Amino acid sequence: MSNLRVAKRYASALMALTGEAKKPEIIADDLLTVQSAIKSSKDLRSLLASPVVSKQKKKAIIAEIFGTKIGSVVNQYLIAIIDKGREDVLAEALGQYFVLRDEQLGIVSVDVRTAVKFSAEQEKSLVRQLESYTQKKVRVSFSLDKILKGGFVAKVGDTTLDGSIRRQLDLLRSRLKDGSVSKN
Amino acid sequence: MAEVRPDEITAVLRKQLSGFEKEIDIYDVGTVLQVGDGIARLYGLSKVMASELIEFPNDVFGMVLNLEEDNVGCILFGDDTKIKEGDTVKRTKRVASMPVGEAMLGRVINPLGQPIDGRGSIKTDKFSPLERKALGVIQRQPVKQPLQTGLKAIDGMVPIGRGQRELIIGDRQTGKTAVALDTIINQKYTHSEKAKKDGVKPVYCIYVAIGQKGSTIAQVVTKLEEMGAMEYTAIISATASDPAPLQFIAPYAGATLGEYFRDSGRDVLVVYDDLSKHAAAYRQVSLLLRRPPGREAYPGDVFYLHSRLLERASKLSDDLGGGSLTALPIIETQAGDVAAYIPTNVISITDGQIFLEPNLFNSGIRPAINVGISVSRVGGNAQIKAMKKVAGRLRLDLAQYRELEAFAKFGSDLDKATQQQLQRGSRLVEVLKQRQYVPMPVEKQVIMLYLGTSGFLDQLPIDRVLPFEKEFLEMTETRHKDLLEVIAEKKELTDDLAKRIQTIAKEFMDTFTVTA
Repeated sequence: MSNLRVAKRYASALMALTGEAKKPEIIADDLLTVQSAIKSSKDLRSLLASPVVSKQKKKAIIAEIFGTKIGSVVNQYLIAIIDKGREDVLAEALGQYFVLRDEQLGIVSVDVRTAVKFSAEQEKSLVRQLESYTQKKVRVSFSLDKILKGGFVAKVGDTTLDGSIRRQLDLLRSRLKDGSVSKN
Repeated sequence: MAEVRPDEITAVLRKQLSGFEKEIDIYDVGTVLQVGDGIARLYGLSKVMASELIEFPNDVFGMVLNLEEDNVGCILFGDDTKIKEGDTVKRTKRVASMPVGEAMLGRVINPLGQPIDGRGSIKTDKFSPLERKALGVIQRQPVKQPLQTGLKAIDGMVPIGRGQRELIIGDRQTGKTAVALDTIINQKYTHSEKAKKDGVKPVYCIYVAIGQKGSTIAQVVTKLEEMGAMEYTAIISATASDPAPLQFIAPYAGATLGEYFRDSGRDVLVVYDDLSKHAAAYRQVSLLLRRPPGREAYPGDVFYLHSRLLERASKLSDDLGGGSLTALPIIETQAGDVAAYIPTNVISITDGQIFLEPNLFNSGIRPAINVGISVSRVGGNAQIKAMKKVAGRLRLDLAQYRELEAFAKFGSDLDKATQQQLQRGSRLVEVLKQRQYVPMPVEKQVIMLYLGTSGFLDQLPIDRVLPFEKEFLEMTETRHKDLLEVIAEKKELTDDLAKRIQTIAKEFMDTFTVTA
């Protein structure tokens, strides 16, 4: 849990660096490269987490993997984080970085679960509606969830927009149980 | 049995289902990171407020206590075993509150306002937040009406006013609860027609049991029912087996219910039995929430915990209806140690304390009030005139008696004045004794204390003082009822009345067998 706090600090530092850079997109792209490398390689993850491997060795490995693929800013960042012995929070820091960057650019990511697959038309209309609701750009990821029976559930940050049949049924059940169903 | 027609059911269902395709439901959610020991840590819920009510699965509710950078600490009011890691929780967007209303009287409820006496649901239409800010200076007025406890020792020496906070403190088994219960029982009088005539407003009572045995609470309920006191009393119970979070909010629930009556212009008495266990429950949740421990491992805000509770006791200004909330907190000390953390805190918060001692209790002085160190800082203004008149003398006589008590064993070697003072003191101690569950109306108290302080009882052997009191008061009630009524109505003890008491007592003494 305290890792999250550390990760936030490292992410916001990186964010400040990005703000100063002339071409922030390049840094973001570089970080995306690093993030996807960490995500895809289990070996890399265990290397970063391992306390046995020396700092020197870690730096050499990182330099060999990314060396030319990423710019100097990110390279230095990686070296700094290894020097500080915080490479174990790197993945988390990167995650937090993208959260912060989205916030700065005014993008919200929305998870949408639907009972049946939406058509392209429906998806477009939903995105439009969500953008007008949040007043921000929306990055939507769709997924299927049969439990919903019908409708959709959109999760914007901590807020849930629930238009599913499942929810309606749950509400109906609780109303019937409470006995508040009345004839008038 | 009424028959339900199928088409009726269909109609109802159709009606309910017609609102089925409503617009989208919007709510804020979080997930449970960790749960156990009556607390939960949540992730998400970024907009949640402190002390907001949170809905967990399986009808468990919780209250937010900690707002941290990466998680939200929450106490649970239900069974924590019904909640799993990863469960989704919802905001309710309202602070923790409880239903309040007239219907609570005569019932036993838990701190959430749900009935636990098996007598069906309680119909109320108002909700009030558990934590409310205490009133400011403008809304208050000084305490000036008496709250009669029916105990001679208290009403005479440490009088309690309506709107006061008077601490009852003592070791275990010294009769702390008994004092509180007698006070509740004595309020029955205030609901009678006669009280209305004498200009005494009815007092509603709330008894908050925190961390006590279920059997003790059952006994209290039975006793109050037996004495006919449940009609104007509500009992809020968080027993020792209830989760600590419930025990923690119990006194606040009592204050909230009390404020409902106070704000409608009535007088309320709230007994918090006891605040030591309340502090222990708060310490438990605080430590589990990882708040730093301080002295005796209590968290840093344990003083504020009690001060904000007791500050809610008040006497409202006439503009606001003139209602009052009197608080009688109870503290249990360990082996008479009043210098422990919680007792000193509560002593400094309250407007005085009633000190009960085990050695007095064991030597047969019951209620076992140590009148020397018991004080009431505001109640004196609230005493009726007649009582003030006799009590001043009583206090003085007893103080002198205590000073000389050590010499009592020298007996006849002492000079006459000293002997007389010792004699007076021992009679007064005897007069202040009283059995449990027999509260005495103030007019009778005045008569007895007058007889004691005027030296009339000095001629009686010590063991005949209480029989004399019993028989004399019985006689007065049957043959001189008007005397009692005059004192109750005028609330004054004029010289004429005093003389009359003397004559009646002299007459009675002739018929009273002095030796048993």
